[in-house]
Amino acid sequence: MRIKSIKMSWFRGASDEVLLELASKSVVVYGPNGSGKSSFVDAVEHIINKGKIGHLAHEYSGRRQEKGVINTATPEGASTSLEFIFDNNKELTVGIQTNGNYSVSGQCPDAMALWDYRRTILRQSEVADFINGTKGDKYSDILPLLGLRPLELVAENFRQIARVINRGGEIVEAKTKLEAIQMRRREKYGNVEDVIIISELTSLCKKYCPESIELDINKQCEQLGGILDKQIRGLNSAHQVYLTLKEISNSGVFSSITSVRSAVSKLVNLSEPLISERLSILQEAKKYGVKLETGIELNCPACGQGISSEDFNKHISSEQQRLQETLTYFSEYKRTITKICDDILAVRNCFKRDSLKSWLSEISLNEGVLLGWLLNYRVEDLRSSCTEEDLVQLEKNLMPLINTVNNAAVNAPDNIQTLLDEQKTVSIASEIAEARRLKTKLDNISAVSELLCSVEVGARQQIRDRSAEIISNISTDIQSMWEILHPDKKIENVHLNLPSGIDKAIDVCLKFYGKDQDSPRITLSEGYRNSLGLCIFLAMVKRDSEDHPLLLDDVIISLDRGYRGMVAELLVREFPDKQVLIFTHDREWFADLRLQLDESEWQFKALMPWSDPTTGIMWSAKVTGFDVATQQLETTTPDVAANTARKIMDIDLPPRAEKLNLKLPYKHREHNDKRMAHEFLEHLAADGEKCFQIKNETGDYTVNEDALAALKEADGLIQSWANRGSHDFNVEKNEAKRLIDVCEKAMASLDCGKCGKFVGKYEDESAHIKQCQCGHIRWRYDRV
Amino acid sequence: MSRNNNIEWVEKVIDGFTRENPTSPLTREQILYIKALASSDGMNTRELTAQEIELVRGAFLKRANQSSENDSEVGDLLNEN
Repeated sequence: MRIKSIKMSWFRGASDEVLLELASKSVVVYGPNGSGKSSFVDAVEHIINKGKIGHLAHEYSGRRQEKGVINTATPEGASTSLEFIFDNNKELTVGIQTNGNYSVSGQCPDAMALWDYRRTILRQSEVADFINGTKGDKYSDILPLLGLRPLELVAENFRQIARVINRGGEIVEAKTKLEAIQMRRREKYGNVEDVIIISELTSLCKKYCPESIELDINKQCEQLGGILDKQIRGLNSAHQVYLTLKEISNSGVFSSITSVRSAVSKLVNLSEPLISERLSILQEAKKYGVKLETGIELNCPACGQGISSEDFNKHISSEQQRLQETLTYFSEYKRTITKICDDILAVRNCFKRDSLKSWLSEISLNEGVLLGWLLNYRVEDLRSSCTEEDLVQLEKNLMPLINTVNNAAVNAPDNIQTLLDEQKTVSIASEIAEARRLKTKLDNISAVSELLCSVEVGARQQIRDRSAEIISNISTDIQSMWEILHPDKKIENVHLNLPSGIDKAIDVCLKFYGKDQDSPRITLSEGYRNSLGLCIFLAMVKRDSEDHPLLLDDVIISLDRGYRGMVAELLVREFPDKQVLIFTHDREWFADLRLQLDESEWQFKALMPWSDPTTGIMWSAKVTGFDVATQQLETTTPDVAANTARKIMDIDLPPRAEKLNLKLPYKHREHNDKRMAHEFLEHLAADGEKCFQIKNETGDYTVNEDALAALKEADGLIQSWANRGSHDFNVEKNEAKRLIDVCEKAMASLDCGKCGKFVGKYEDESAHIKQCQCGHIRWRYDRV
Repeated sequence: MSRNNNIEWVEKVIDGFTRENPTSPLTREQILYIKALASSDGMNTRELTAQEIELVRGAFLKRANQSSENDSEVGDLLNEN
């Protein structure tokens, strides 16, 4: 897609309607500093970035940048607007309100929706941004080009799902339930297989309900439970007392207290050094992070020392194992707390049974006080916090009471303990199915989680593999572009690199005079870094699948003149079908480009110096700039206008002389680059006697006398009046006016009066002739 | 990147996983579900919302509890949402 025209009203530097007519061609816009070139770039950015302009993002521009976007002299009733017409003749219009709110309308309001700012616009201040950014910034910058965002999303989405599944409350609940079941089972049976418990259950079935042997475990447990409950209910009152006393005696509160202490001790032993080590790792990781910002790399974020990746990975694995071990002890600690609370509740319930009332009426006063303490004890508080003080208090208050119970339970008949054991067997057997279900669930979740992680890892590997391939292609482009810009520089193998072992990171590497360099910032000067930045930007633009124009805003400022010339060659070669909008304040480059670029594909426009917000951005009627000088006759002093005319000649003549193969005497070193208009005019006029020809009415070529006269007149006036304007500041207005006219005429004399093209536009090498497009004027450079 | 482009590498990853974990308790339906999920537009066009992640988590946990159930109806869970 190409832009046909851009119209701005009261936007940035523009006042009432300024129009950039492109006719869908590429363009080079010249304008002195502050003339409003960047306002056109800002207009494009405003749309691409949805109302935001990067360089206006500061506290003074207003919430919606309204203080920066809207021309400060916008009259009452006038509105700020942008209008883009595209090569399909459809338009996009933006209306901006005084508060910065904006609305987009027109026949194709989404025309620029997919234009990526970083692939569309390059500003002077952004040229080296990529090179100077961190590896992560570079990766983020390049990621959209790789077309791998879907894979990034898949990886990230799977990571999030796996994280949430692993963190889910249901897992914790299932684990806690399973652990409680396993603990109850271990207490009675130790670490035995299910089959042992099921065999005991079968024996009980044979004893109490042989008809249920064929049933499943749950049904067997249900039947046996009912039978055992009936047997207990059928006990006489004395045996009921014994049964309850035995239950209290079997409760295991004291072993639970011991378990809590043991778990706490293990935790303390493990946690303290672990926490202090974690802290030191965090400190080192912080240093690592700080150093990364400055681009210095470390191998180990934990200790800051270089170690092999294998050792580093082993270290990480062992740390993970230690943390896992600590987590296991934390979970054991929680389990013991749960157990002690359950035990206390069970004991308390036993003491509340009616069957124990008569026995309790005979306990001592002190034991009665202790029982009262137990009945009022807040077990739930213990679940949330269990300190050593709590444990001591439990021992102090419960031990005498339970010792009394233990002494009384000694005389219990054997069948009472048998009944309790059988009840316990049935209870544990009844949990086998639940334990299996919970284990299956946990195994399944763990397997799901592992598979999700595999998919995430797979996606990341895909990203690396595909990135490597695309980045290799981009690197080839960068290198070839660099070679166009700097054919003589011994900088080779410029490429983007995916550092091994780090995800989401990219760096720029190169070979500098035969030596590999990890970053261009080590050896390249600022100018070369900018040049490389331009190559990287253009290489990435080349990979952008969206068809949109390319805007370059004063990007060659730090390049030497010779290299600047190569930029045009680079653009023409690499982007033959792309519309390019170049904005520059460099008059020399503008003059070069006018001679270098094909006018059938390119337009050239110049802006007048900006005077005030009401006048706004103004186009110059002539790309030569002589109208600027004429305007200065009215707005400034004659010597300023005269100087402007001379500057135009100083700048515009050298590339023309070069095109005509004009031979000038060699000067010492850089003095060759500092020649003035006089030298060129003098030589053009002298060589022109033999070389510069014009076709007459009969079709023969004769010396172009008019042109030579114009060149000589300009040379004469530049030597006298322009130098006077420059040194004495006493040029009269009429003298300056004459100088401007004569200089303009001299410059025009080098262009054809018929086709308008420069005499050096085309070359017939075999005949040693340069000529305009129609051949009306020519320069025979072999004549001197 | 097209959905088909994703399916190719997802299949490779899942084949690799099942080869390395022959005793994995995952059912064929669960594996197909993950495959469908990884290739679904919902997964590779945007970041999932917390609600969607919860939806997927619920679906996995449901399958963990009912591992032998037929899961085919949830293949396009995200696309439907």
